[in-house]
Amino acid sequence: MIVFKDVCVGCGRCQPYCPAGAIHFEDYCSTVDQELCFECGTCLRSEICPVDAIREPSNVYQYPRALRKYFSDPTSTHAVTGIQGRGTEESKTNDVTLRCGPGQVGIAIEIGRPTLGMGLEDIQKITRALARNGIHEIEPNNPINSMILDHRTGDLKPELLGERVLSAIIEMSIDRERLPDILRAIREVIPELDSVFTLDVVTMLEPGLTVPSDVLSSIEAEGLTWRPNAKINMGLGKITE
Amino acid sequence: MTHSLHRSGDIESQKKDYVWFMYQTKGVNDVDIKPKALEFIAVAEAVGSENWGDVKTGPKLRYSIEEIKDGITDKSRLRGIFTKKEQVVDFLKQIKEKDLGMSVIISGVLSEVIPACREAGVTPHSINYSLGVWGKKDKLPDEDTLAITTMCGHHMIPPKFVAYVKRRVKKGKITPEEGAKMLAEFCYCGIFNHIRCADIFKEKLAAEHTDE
Repeated sequence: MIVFKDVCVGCGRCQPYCPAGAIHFEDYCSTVDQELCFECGTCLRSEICPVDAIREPSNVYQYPRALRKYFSDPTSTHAVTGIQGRGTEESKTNDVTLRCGPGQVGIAIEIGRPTLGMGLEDIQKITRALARNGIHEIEPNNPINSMILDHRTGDLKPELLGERVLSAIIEMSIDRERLPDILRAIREVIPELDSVFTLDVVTMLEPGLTVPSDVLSSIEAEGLTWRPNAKINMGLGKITE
Repeated sequence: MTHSLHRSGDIESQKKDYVWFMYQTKGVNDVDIKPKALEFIAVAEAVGSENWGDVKTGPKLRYSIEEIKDGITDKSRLRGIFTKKEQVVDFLKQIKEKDLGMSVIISGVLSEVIPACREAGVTPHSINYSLGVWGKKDKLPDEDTLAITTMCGHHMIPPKFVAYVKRRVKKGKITPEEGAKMLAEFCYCGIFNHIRCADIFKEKLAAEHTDE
């Protein structure tokens, strides 16, 4: 986003609305630090500017800066996958897609959340760590898949590495016996990261509405625990005409 | 991912915080969704969903229900909140009865949601567990702020704005409910639980008074 200097009256009301903390005073006007801005559009949607000085610049949809908007503005539709939010349906449609099917476990590494955002270098650090451990199965219907230059090394396309987004999700489904290897690879890379991530594990439920015991054992064996809240797919989705 | 499985804060408080979603699947059942979306909205309203929205228009705490309904397209996402387990049970019963074929997701504290599923006669398909937050956690705001900002799954609520609202509430310039609604306007999905947020403000204020 940008603030038109010749329109801005310097009231500063827009500044606390920025999730990136990218708006500050310069020469008695508000200005947006283009390096920090996620292009999330929050300042514009807030309609807080009394003189409409906040605008979307023409380069917002130009590659690679466009990734900022696709990954950070929930009202936008991702150009690669045609899906809103972070550009992936993940477990929310698992009853229809079986993206994470019987005998499998889904992993989602949600980088940048809570609240901090991140540079895309953090994604590369994780994809490289996964690749070093022989893990290359990034979900094909997740936009991160298209950002990887070389799946053998986990390298991202170099032109992306200067970009920042509010969050993105590295997502994969693997056979359950490989869960310990993945959790170990993820834990190893944590000290290298500049931001935070949240970690998800997805499984189909077993009769009695229980999680497969081998999945729970793998999580515990790696010294991890699950939180008391979760997202549950109710199994009401269907393939319809 | 709407991030609703990573909501933080006191667990008793989270037991008054459920998120519902209607999801169409790309390439499968994502054409002409509006009639089904309207049925979801009707059920959500009937069981008293306190906030809901369509990310393409915004939350009902900011836009009228008619505006949101008019704006529904095949790219819409409907999501909202409940504050009581009984609402979850009623919602699931009615949606199951309607057999609309869209994916339905509920996020919340497992010890509440699983019994709600049993009571509603719904057999969940899969579960997405949170294994917590990792990395540079020292850069994060305090836990009280996170309990509020994590109620917007896309993290559109700046911690700085939470601090601003808290100050206004503390000074008596606005009520906790008014402050919570200001924050809800950031969350275009409509999953910000303003009832819980106002409760958090009230609890913190009461605790501060006690300390004084």
